[in-house]
Amino acid sequence: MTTRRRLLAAAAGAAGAAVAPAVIGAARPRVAVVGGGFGGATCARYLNAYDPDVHVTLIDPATRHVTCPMSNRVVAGQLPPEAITLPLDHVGNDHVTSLAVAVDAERRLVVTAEGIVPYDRAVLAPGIEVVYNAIDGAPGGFLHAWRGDTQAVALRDAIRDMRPGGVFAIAVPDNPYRCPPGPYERASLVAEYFRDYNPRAKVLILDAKDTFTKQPLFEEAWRLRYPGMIEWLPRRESGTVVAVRDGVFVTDFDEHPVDVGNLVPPQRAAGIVRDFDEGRGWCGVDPMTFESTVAAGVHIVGDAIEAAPMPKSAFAANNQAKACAAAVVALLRDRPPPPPFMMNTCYSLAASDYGFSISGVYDVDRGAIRGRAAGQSPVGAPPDTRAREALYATDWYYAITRDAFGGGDPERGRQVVLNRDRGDCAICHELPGLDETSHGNVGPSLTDVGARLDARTIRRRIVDPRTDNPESVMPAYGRSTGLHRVAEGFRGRSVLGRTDIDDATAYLMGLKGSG
Amino acid sequence: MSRAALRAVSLLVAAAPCAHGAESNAFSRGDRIAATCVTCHHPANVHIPPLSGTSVAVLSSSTVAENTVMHRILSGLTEEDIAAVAESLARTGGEAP
Repeated sequence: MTTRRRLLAAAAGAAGAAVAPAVIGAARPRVAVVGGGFGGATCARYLNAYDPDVHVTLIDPATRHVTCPMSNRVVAGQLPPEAITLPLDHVGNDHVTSLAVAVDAERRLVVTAEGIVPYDRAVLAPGIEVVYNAIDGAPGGFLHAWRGDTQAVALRDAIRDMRPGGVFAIAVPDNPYRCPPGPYERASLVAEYFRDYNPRAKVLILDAKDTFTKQPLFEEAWRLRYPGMIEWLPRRESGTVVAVRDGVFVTDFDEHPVDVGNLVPPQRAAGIVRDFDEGRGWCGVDPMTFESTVAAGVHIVGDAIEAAPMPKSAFAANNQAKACAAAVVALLRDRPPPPPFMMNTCYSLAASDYGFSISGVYDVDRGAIRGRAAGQSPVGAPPDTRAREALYATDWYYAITRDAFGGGDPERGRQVVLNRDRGDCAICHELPGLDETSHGNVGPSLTDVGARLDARTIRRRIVDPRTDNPESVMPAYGRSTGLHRVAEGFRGRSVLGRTDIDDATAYLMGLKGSG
Repeated sequence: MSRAALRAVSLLVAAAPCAHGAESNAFSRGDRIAATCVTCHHPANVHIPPLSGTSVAVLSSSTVAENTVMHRILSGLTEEDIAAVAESLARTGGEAP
C-alpha cells in the first residue's frame, strides 16, 4: 500500500463519518484547485470570474509563487528574486496552505497534510517533478533551478563565484520537458553575464536532443553576441548525460569537467497526479474539458498533461486554465462546455535587449488539440526588431502575472474607486480625502477597509457583495450575468473590468485607517 | 433625493443580481478568444498596446500585419473569429469578460 493509498483510506474513514460528499447543484458549487502556479492560479481566478457563485479553494503549501518565466534573468543576475515572486493572496475564495497528498476521485475529496477538502470538481495543476533515476549519482549536489524555487538564486551565486575562465555546463533533457527554449535562453543570458564579468569563461550545453526549438534564432544570436563562448553538443556528438560525479558530467561517450554544472533532468507530472498518468509520466485529458481520461470530476491543466502540439509553457498553462474554467462552470450547471480556443507565445531572451518568439494558435478537433497556426520570429531580423521583442517579453510577463495571480496598481485603483464613471464608491461609502458632503453613508466607511478585510474578501465584495451577504444592496461590479434589467451599455460586460477590480482592491487594501 | 442617491438607486437597479445559481456565463466565441489576448495585453503595459479601441479595422491594419507576433497569431483566426473578438473587446473596453 502506497503512502497515498493509506492516506486515502484514512481520509475515507474520516470523510464517511463527518463530511458528506459534495452534491452537484448545491447552492455554491465547490471547486478545489491544487497548485498555485500559472495553470492553477489562472484557473482559480477565471472560475471566480466566469461564475462568481462558485466557491474556489486553492490548495498550495506556499503563500507565494516564484515563476519560472524570467527566472533565467535571476540566474544571470539581471533581476532580484523578488521580481519573479508573486503572492497568492488574490487567488481563489480561500487558500489551504497545505500539501495536497492525494485525490480521492470517487468520494470527491482532496487529501491534504492538514485535512480533507471536499469538491464538486477538482482542478489539478501540479506542474512537474524532476526524475534522476536515469542519471547515476544525480543530483550529486548539482542544481536544476527548473521549478521556480530558491535554486535560481543558488545557481546565480555559483555562476558569480566561478573561477575566471571556468566552464558553466547545462545538461538538457530529451523532450518533453518544461519550457523547451529555457535551457538555451539560460545559456545565452549566462554568456551575457560572462561577457561582462568573466570574459574567458565558457558555456557548454550537453543536449539529449539533436535539434531544439528556435535553434536558428539562438545560434544566430550566439554568433552575433557571444562568438566562441557557447558550445552546444547534441546527442549525436556526445550522447546523453548518464552520470554525474564531483565536478564532472559524464555522457555516453565523454567526460566533461565543469566548474559550475546545471543539471536539468528528465521530468514527469508531479506526484499528486501520478494515479492519473497511467504510467506514462504525463496525464491524458479530454481537451474539450481538460477532465482526466481516467478520473471523473478531476481536471488537469498545465505542464502535467499531454497537450501536444502545445508546449509545456506558462502561456499554454494559462490558456488551458481559462478553457478548463469555462468548461468547469458549464459542467457544474449541466451545460455543454464551450469549445476551447487557445494560444501560446514563448518569448526568449538571447540578451537583455535581444528577444524573439514562437507562437501558436490552437483549438480542439475530433478530441485532440489541433494547431491552427504557428510561426516564429524571422532569422536575420534587424536589431531593432530583436530589441522590440525583448521589451514585449517584459510587458508579456507583467500581463500574464497580473492575469494569473492578480494584484493591482493602487494609484490606478484610486482613480477607479473615485471616478464617477467607474467605481464611484463615494456614492455610498466614506473614503479618505473626501469631505462629508461628497460621500454617501449607505455603506460602511472604507477608510480602514484594508485593516478590516483581506484582499480576497475585498475583491469578492466588489465583484458581488451578495456572495458574502445575500441581503446586501450594493451592486455587483464584477458580474456580467445573472443580473436584472441591465442598462444597454452594460450588457455582456461587468461595470468594472478585471484589471479595474484588481487595481481597486490594491487601493482599498492600502486604506488602514487614520492611525 | 440627491443626485448621488439617484445615481446609487439607478446602479442598484441596473446591477441587481437575480437568484444565485440560476445562471452561469454562456461565453461567446469572441469572449473566449478575448481571454487569450489578455495573457499579453494589459492596460498598464508600455510596449504591447492596450486592447481598448480594438476593432476589425485595427486588427486588419498594416501596423498589426507588420508586428512581430500578431501577424502570426492572426493567421490562426478566421474573418469570423476576428469580427467576434473585436465585438467582445469593444463591448468590454478591452478587458476579457
